[in-house]
This record gives sequence, structure tokens and C-alpha cells, in this order.
Amino acid sequence: MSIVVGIAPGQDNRPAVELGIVLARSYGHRLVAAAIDSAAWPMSPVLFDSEYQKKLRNVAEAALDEVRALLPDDIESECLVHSARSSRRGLLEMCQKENAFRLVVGPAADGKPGRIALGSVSTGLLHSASLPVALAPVGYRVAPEARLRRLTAAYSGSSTSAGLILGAAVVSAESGVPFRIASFAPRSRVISAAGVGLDVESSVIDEWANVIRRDTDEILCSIDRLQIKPGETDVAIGTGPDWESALSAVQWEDPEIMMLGSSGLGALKRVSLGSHAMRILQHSPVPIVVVPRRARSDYAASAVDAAGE
Amino acid sequence: MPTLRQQLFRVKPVPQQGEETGSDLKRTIGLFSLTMIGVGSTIGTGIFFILSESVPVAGPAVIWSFVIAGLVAGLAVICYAELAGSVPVSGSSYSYAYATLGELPAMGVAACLLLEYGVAGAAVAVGWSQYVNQLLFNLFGFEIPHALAYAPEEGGIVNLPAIALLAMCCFLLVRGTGESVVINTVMVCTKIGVLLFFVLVGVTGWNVDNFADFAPFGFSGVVAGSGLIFFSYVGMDAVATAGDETKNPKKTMPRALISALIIVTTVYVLVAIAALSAQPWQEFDGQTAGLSAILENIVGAQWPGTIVAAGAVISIFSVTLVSIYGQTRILFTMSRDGMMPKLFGEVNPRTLTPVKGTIIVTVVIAILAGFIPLNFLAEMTSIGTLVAFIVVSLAVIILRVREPDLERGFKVPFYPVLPVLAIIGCLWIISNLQIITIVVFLIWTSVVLGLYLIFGRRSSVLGKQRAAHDSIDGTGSAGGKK
Repeated sequence: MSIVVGIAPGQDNRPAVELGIVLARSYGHRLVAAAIDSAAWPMSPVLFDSEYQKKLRNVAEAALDEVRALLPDDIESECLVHSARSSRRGLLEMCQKENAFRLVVGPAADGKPGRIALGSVSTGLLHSASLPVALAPVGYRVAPEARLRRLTAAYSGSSTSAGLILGAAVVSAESGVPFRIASFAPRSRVISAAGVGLDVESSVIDEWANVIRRDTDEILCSIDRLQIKPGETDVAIGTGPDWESALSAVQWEDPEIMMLGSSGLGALKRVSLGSHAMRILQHSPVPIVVVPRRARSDYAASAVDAAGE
Repeated sequence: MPTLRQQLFRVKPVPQQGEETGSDLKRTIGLFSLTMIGVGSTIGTGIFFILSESVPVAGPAVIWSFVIAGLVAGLAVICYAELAGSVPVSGSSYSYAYATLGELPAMGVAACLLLEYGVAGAAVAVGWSQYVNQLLFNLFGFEIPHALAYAPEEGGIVNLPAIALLAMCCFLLVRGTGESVVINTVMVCTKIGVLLFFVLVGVTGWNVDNFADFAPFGFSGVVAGSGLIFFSYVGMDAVATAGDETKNPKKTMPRALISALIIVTTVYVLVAIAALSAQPWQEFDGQTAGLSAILENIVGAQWPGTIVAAGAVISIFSVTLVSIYGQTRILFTMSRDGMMPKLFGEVNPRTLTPVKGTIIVTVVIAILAGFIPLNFLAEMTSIGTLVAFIVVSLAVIILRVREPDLERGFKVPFYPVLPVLAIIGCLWIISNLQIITIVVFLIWTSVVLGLYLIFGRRSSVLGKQRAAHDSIDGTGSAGGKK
């Protein structure tokens, strides 16, 4: 198995490469840095087109040269250029060819420092990938020889989300990474005109937190019944006046990743207000691994296998 | 085993500042924001349709009805502010009564609040349906058939637009509070803009003759009008409940309350003057979508009326939203105290809202709105608010005597004159309401108190805590302070 890192020529690829390195080291997989030469389409017999292709291939090679300088000796790695009709398609083909465990992509060029920013390629990947996609925040860096210190799975309170969390637990158990379940909610401002007090929403959120604690206790019991279970498990609930403070209300290790397995992922298709998954993604201080809709059943099945043996 | 008297008057301990829910609240609201909270939450609750209900009762002197209702509301709200500052709990006057007077009086207040919010939601939805019809007619020359737009007593079968409005609000609130707040802010701005537009266009039709017969029903008519109008000031208590988040509450709260009250009363009086100057008072009787109709008569064209009708349709929406919201949160708080079935306190983990409670509340309000006429609903809202205000004013006096050393964010000036005046003012307006309103109110309160005696008294969380405490240390001091 391998970790495929998507390299975009002409962009800052360091966040994606650093995330790829830490994942490859923690999970013990090979790292494949793949630059997609998407100019291969439309296939044209005319000669000058091949000139143009050659130039683009050179640009891709140059990007990979930069990546090579970043790759450490302690992990097995390879750099490849792959021709495909589009960057998205090329990356997915590479994942299939390399039997990828995770696909890592970097942030869009216009993102805020420290935040994840979806670009057109990463948005497309979230719709069509059949494996978990790791998204690196803008300017992401890790210390040399760092390994993942924790894997957090975001829980939104739905049954699909619970299945994905079991899958994440299996992954963290197999790689010996401590595991945590986390839920987040903003304490939104109350409609002041309702005359019931501006702090009334706090008690509604407290009740929500109780529901989440009860659910996560059940999930922890299910994790305990797994054949392979993580050594260390924890639960965290983050609330605050907005999503940003809700996410920073819990402690984060460095490096840590968060698995996003919300059933609200469907809403990522059309980025809509109110999608919890989208809000978590936008405000996360750590890299996020999204389990796309197509990958969900395979991913959850790994937990069932682990429980059934 | 506590005696019945001990059970009925057990008092929830007053949490200290910062304890319980207060811990994560910061003092961020200044004088201007607080005044705007008061203005935004109050204006629009009744002014869009209450004129057609109150002018036939008071005549042009309805202007004084607005001022009297505003003064009484102001007195009560100042008492509210003291309690909000000294009892830092959510849940409105129900929680204040629970922490000061005891369980039975708290249930009485809850009955008033449930009536106030529930009926206000219904009343406003009924008013909305009139403006929807006006708007539909102006824009498309089409009206919802009478049978489907009015309550049975008004010759219809069911008020369908009102029910549709409630369903939309329910949908929004179930989806999540965050979006509702944004939508609410937009609507508050819309309604203030529309009212100013009404005043500007309305004064162009000024005719001093319309004020000739100023008070056809004398002073009693003015007071009766105040009773109907009172619920146009309900939103004022929103200012008081922000006590925990206000900077320098001792100075800011009374200033914001008084400023908001002056602004709101001024807008109301301006709207009333503009409306009365443009149309003889006798013509208000039975007029639907009053403000729109007045503008159409003045200008002789439909467009100003259409603007007002559209503004009313948008802004009244926000009031209904807030009413249902308030109702569900009060039931939530009561359910946490064991006074209501547990299902009102359940929060859906996906949407972070009490979904079941919201749906039940909407269905009940929809039944009221669909089948009961508007003026009766308006009076029922007022009596609920008035009684709740009396209890709050009383609680201020009781708490001053019982716990004189309690830290208070804001103190009522001229104590005990102001609380006593507030009580007298509220009682005076109640005495001028229709007898049927008072009777229905008493029946409703008895039903809620009956429910308490059967259900709440035994399932009270506080009661259970006290019983558990007593069985451990065997002191037997279960009763609260009396």
C-alpha cells in the first residue's frame, strides 16, 4: 500500500508533501509523489501540440525535483509523472495503480494561513474518490522524523458517522496511533427578541453535549469489542461562540489529523450554509482526512471485519 | 417527607454570578446595542395590525393608549432588569419566579408565559395572513378564498396562510438557530424601514378633522385600548434578559430600557398619528391589513400599500419565529426542572435544536391561529404578559426582603414605589380587559396548576434532589425558604 501525494506544478507543494511524509512514516507505507501531466488531452496528431506537451512535462518534472529535495531517507518514496485527461482523473488513476491507502492534496493557493482551503481539484476529488482524501492546511509543516501523535475522528451524532469512527479506530489501532472522538458545536447567539435570556442556548448546547457523550460512550464500547483496538482512546467536546472557537476549545497535538466522517458530507457537493462537515473543515487547525461518500462503505467495512474475526 | 406546603413553595437556589450557565458569558453589549435589541425586538409585534383592533375601542385617543401601555411596560421591565441581574438563570420570568417565590408560583408564571408566547405567535400569524391576502391581491389580483383565510367565528373555516407561516417558522427553527438569527436581523431592519415609510407617506394625507372627536369613549376607552396594545411592548423584556452580558449594567440597563421605550413609543405614536390623520377613526373597525389599506386610500394608488404589505409579510414572519423560539426554550427549561415531560428537553444531535418540542409547539399554535379570531388572541397575549409582569415586580420586593445582601447587577430606583406602581398599573389594565378573557385566562392557569399538582410536583428535579439529600443526612429539612 502507498500514500499518494498530488503534486501541482507551479504551486507550493510543501504542505501536501509534509503531510504525506508524516502519514507514510506513521502508517509504515510507501510515499508516491505524483505530478499529473493533464495536457495529454485532447490527443492531437499535430506536431506542435507535442512540443507543448513536452514543455508541460518539463514543468511537472521540475516540480517533482523540488519535492525530491524534501523527501527524507527514512521512508520509501518515489516520484512519478502521470499523463491523464484531467488532474483529478490522473490522481485517481495513480491511487488505483499504486493501491493507495490515502490520497494527500495541498490547499488552494488563496487559502488563509493555517487553514484548509478547497480548490477545484480537491473539491472534485471529494465527490469522486473512493479512498479517504487528506487535506493539508496552508503552510503546513512538521518537525523532522515526526510521527502522528493522535488521530481524532469527528462525530456529528449520526449512525453513519458512528460506522466511520469505528473504521478510524481500526486504522489508528493498526498503526499504533492514540485515538480520540471529538464533537463540535457553536453556541449561537440567541434570538434576543424571544425574551428568554441570551444564555438560554447554553443549556440547549449542554443537553446536546450530554447526548453526544452518551453516544460516544456507546461507540467506545463498540471499539472495545473490536479484535484490534487502539491502545489509548479519548473523547473531546468543543463548544464556543462560533465554529472557530469551538474547534480551538479542544487541545490538539502536533502532528495530529482529524478524520471527518460526517453524514453531512453529502452537503459538500453543494457547499451550503449549515453543513457541519464543511464548517469543521474550514476551521480545523489540523489536517483533515475526509472519507468521501464513495469510500464510506469500504471504510466502514474494515471495522466490521475487525470486529467479526 | 416534605409537607404539601413545603413542596409547593420549594425555591430553586439562586446561583451565584458565573455559576451554572453564566460562566461563558462575556459583558460585551453596550448601550447602543442594548437599545437596538429592545427596539428591534419590540417594534412590529403589534403595530402592523393592532390599530384596526384598538382604534374602535379608544378612538383617536388611542395615541394615549400607546403611551399608557408603554409606561406600564416600562415600569415592569425595570423590575425585570433587577431580577435578571440578580438571578443569573435563563428561562425568563419562570426561572425568576422559581428562584424567588417557589415552585407553584413558578408554574403560574409558566402558564402566563406559555400563553403569552403561544398566543402571540398565533395572533401575529393571523395578522400576517391579512397582509398576505392584501399583497396577493395587489400583485396578482387574487385573494385566498374567505373560507380558507379566516377563523370560523369570522365566517371562514380555517386560516390557512397563518398555518403555512407557522410551518415555515417551524422548519427554520428545526434546521438550526444560527440561520434563524440572521434572518431575524434582516426582518427587524425591514419592519423599521417599512414603518418609517408608512409615516412619511401617511402624513401627506393629513386631515385635522379626523381628530375632532378625540376621545369618544372617554378615559375608560383609552385604558381598554392600552390592554389590547400592551402586547406590542412584549419584546421589551429582551433588554432585561441581556443583563448578564451587558457592560456596566447598573447604568446601561436603565438607560437602554428608557431609550428603547422612548424610541418604540415614539414610532408607535407617529404611526398612530399618521394613520388617524389620514382616515376617520370609525373606518378602522373591521379593516384588514390596516396600514396598507390606509396608504392606498391616501395616495389613490396601490404601490405604497403593496410596499407596506410586503414589508409586513416579511417582518411579521420574524415575530412568529421569535414567539415559537421563546416557547420551545421555556418548555426546554421547564423540562430540565422536571415540570414538563422529558421530550421537551431532548436536543437533536444533528441540528442542535429541540426538534420534538418545536414541532409540538408549532402544532398547538397552528390550531389556535387556524381557528380563533385575532382580537381575542391579542387580549389573551396581553393578560399573560401582564400577570407575568406582576409576578416579576412582586418577586423584586420579596427578594429584597428575603435576600437583602444578594449581589445585584442593577437595582430598581425609587424602591419600593416603582415595583408597587408596576403592579397597580398591570392590575388596572387587566381590570379593563373583557370578562371572557379573564375567565379563559383563569381556566388556563388552573389547568396548568392542575397538571403541576398531578405531574410536576412528583417529577420535580429539585424535589428529587432534596429527597435524596434528606435520605443521606436525615435532616428532614426538605422545604425551601418561605
